[in-house]
Amino acid sequence: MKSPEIVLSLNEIMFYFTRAAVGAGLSFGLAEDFGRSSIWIGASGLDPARITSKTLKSLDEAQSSLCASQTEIGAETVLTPSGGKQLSALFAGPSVCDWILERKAVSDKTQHFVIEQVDHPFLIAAAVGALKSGIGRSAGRIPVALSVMC
Amino acid sequence: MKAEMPEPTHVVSKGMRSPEKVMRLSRMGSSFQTRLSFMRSLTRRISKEKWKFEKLRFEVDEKGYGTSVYVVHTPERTYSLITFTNEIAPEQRTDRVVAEVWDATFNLFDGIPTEADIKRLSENTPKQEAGRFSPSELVLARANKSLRLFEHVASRLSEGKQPDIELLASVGYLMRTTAVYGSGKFGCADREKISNRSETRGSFQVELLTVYLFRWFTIELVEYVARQRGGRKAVSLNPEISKFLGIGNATGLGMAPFLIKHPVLIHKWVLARETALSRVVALESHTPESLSLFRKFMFQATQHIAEWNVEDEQQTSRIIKTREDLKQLSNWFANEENIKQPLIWERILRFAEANFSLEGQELTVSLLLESHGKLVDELADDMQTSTGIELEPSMSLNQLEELLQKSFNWALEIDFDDPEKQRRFWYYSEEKLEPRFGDRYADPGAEQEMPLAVGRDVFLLNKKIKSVTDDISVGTFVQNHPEFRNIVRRVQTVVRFPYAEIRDNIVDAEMRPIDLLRFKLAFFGASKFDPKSELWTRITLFQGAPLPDQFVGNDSDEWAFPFCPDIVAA
Repeated sequence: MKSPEIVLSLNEIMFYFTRAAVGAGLSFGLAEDFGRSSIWIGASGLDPARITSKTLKSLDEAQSSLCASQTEIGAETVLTPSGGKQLSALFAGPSVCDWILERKAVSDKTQHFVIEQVDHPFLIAAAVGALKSGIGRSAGRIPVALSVMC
Repeated sequence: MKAEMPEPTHVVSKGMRSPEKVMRLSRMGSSFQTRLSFMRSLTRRISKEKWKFEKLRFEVDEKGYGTSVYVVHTPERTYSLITFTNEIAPEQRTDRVVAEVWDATFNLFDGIPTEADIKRLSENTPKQEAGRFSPSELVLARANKSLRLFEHVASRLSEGKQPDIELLASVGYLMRTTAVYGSGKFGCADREKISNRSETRGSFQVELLTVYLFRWFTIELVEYVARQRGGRKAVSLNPEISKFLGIGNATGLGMAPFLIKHPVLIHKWVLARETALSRVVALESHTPESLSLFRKFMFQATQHIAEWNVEDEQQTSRIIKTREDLKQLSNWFANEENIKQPLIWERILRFAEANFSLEGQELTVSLLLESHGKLVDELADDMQTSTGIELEPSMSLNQLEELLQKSFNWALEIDFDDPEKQRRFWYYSEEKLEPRFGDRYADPGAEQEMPLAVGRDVFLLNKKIKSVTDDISVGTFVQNHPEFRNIVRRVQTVVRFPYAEIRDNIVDAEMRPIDLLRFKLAFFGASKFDPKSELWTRITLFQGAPLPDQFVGNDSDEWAFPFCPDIVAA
């Protein structure tokens, strides 16, 4: 059955997507970050429901994990899932944004962040996009080289 | 790695009331409208910028059912109120959110609608939440008639008579809104669309413009129905009576979470009011004009409060005490010795604080502001914000703990291990997506609690921080404990905004949501709060405000504390 197409306002995207993420098991803080990423996707002319539903499903069905360890390896920071599952982008996206803001506070040189085995890499881009476009916060100019490994 | 500690904005300067005093639920629930209230700033702008009003379409039958378009031209843009009125069965008329039909449904449209727009809206607006809207619509709303008053006014006017003024005063409106939706609800335009427009950037300006235009429509509608019934015999409403008619409103829990979800905005509202008050009480001398204005508004307030009668016992006793407070204030003011000395406004405030109830004190604040428009009105331009709630991951955990100790003592002093201190919880109903207030130990759904219990969450955060031995960064902390991400970023943000946080426990067994509602509605400019329970209240909006053809002279902003016109029904 094909659902009728509805154009959501940004406010509705924030409301519904945040609650969908809470329903899938995210804490409210991470869910709000997901809401902001979804706004960025919608504002970029893409369908946030189509793009994000698989990520929520992966988490809901316990195929993805919200547990990870972050380590410094030489000039790189590496985020690795723990527990043998792939890493949920719903966790990795806010993590990379926090890392960007933390590094920005001490250095403006280009730095490297590697995320391993992430389930839906596009949502990492969406999280950084939301950060850089100031959805929910002001980030300023942030030089970052991001590697995502599926 | 240590981040710079966020500095609290140094706003609480000499003469300003402290957040500890102002941001308590009991005082917030005693608020009155002021010159800075959003309805007041809207009508000031209408008057100053000479907005033009136009009735573009009025296609209704003899009973008043049909389609209307009322337009307002501001210097830069045009907005249209599109209203659909329908006949509904009396048993279907309810103000509750479960209603499916209403006497009137309407939108505020951005610009002038085409025929296609009106057709599209005629198929959606009457359905309200079940309809779908576009970014051309700024507001969606609905209203029900006060059947008793609407019928009485129509009937009297049709006979060539004015309505019974006592009946009119006891109701105060021809129709009452039961929901006014803006900010992207059901597909309407997001706030971002209008937040940079000079006429709509202020808080709730499009929502209140909608209500203002609708009030004009209700008066024209009842006069039209009277003319259809009475023909040449029919008369129009006396302009003073028209002016005294407002729009009723039933407000429930939908408004309450807004105050907690927008802490920086709330800071800006309260900061403006407290800055205004500090400017007034700092005046060493006074002029005959300011004395005369204060006396005039004190008289108006006395009349207004005398006409404020409600069924609620608690509110009735508060009103009676406020009347006594006003009598004391009047006596104080009548004493020549009090008038002669300097710093009269500060002494009035101190007298009120020493002798009056909280309602009496807040009414005094409103009166002090009312008589000093030149000092106060410009502050209305800074009662909005684009500041979001931001995480600062580079801050150290020790620094975060310091912030908690410095700015959240009020929360850390509450014993949340006592079950009664978190008996209540806030959640959204599945059916209508409306906020609800549950009993954690009796109602289902506590696992779906909205994150509004700021005090409790600060208490838990403080406990968790104390269990972490290393001085890690906040970024690392929230990665390890994502359940605290929300409250951490709130703490980091609001410490810079002293009036942002309600300094009380909003999940306490004794908490009264009505206090939150009154605080917000007073900032809207509402009057005659009529609590129907601890969960909802009736109010009147724009009562006493000039109608579009009444913006003449300098007194168009002097409609605070309206009281019944001295007119005998002919």
